[in-house]
Amino acid sequence: MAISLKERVDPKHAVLVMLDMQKGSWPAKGGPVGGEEILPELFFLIKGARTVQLPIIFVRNTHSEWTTTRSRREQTENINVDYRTRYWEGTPGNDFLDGLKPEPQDLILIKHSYSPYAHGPMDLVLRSRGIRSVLLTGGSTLGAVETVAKDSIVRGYDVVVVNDCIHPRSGAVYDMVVEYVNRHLGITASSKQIVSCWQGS
Amino acid sequence: MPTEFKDKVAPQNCAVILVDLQNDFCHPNGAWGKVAADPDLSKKVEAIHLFLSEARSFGVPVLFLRTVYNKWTISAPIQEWWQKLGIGSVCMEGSSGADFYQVRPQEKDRVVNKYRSSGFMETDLDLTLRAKEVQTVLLGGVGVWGGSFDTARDAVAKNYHVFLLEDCIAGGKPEERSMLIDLFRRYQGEVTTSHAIVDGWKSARRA
Repeated sequence: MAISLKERVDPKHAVLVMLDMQKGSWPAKGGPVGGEEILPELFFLIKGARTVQLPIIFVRNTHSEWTTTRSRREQTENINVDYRTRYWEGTPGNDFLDGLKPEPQDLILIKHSYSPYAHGPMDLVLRSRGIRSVLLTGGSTLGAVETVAKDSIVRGYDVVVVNDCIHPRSGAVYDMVVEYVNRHLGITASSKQIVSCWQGS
Repeated sequence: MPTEFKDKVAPQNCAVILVDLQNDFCHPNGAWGKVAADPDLSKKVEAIHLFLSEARSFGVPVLFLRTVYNKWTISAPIQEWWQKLGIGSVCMEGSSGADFYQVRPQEKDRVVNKYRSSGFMETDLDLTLRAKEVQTVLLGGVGVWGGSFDTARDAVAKNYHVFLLEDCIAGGKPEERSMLIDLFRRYQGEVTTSHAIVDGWKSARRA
């Protein structure tokens, strides 16, 4: 029997994960800093999560000379971008977007690539806290969100991608990822649907 | 991959990893220090100081592994184990027990937080070593039965050459330490001294 949305978002064993909501995100073409378009829905979701004491993890993409491999450096330079530009340790690009402030009970988890499972204690934290499902938000939709959805299900976690709290949240790539998640990795749901589950619990 | 000692330990191929040199593992009033004090600790700390100074002067990257527990990473089995040992909490984030003991990282060094015994478990240590194109790990620190040994073993498993620096390994009873170092030498990696490494660096520079 399929696991319902209500079960997946149950505060007893779910966690809200925010991926790379930082000032160094790629901007949408001609748009504001990457990710700003989802902030109203994300604030709404965070508020709902705090009301039911759902644990929250702020994932912070962070690069430095210590963690930049030659392959990553060359790949970035191939597209004419200085590899030290985005998310660089100690620069404003590494900061969270304005309004996204972790509270003392939240966890800030540093990552150095697409997935926080790769070089940090993501899995350890989830196991230690008895977490069974992850609610994924942030960006980018294809780079981080889809990768983390895959890395989560292969480790046995149930996945919910919050479809109005990921960026970019429209276009062909968004449509493809949402369809792929729903077919293979878990389910997608809106922030309103999720908060409704919490309000009804 | 280098095969000769001089190539394995050449500064451009190496990194120094210092494991768990923290108050809870070393200080006489630290959680572990109270139950497993190392009588040779001050001698080891002095050797580590001297070795780090040489390593930095040869441009060898220096990494400090630091155990950190918090409410996100602690688990029921670990807490139960601490309770059985009667040691209280160990290296809780923000506590003085988690702070470095006597040897402190300098600006150009790297601190890697770890959450279990091995420095490779769910940390960015392996990525950092790859990013620096490190092939050989020179390892010292505390907890030969735990942090240092487990990190050394995982380093071998990840295809690094590993040298345990016998004069820079502290923690526990001397006879247990000798036995574990000997087992490592026989079955897993290489054991040497900080002096041998520094001599190798100096000879290569003269050549």
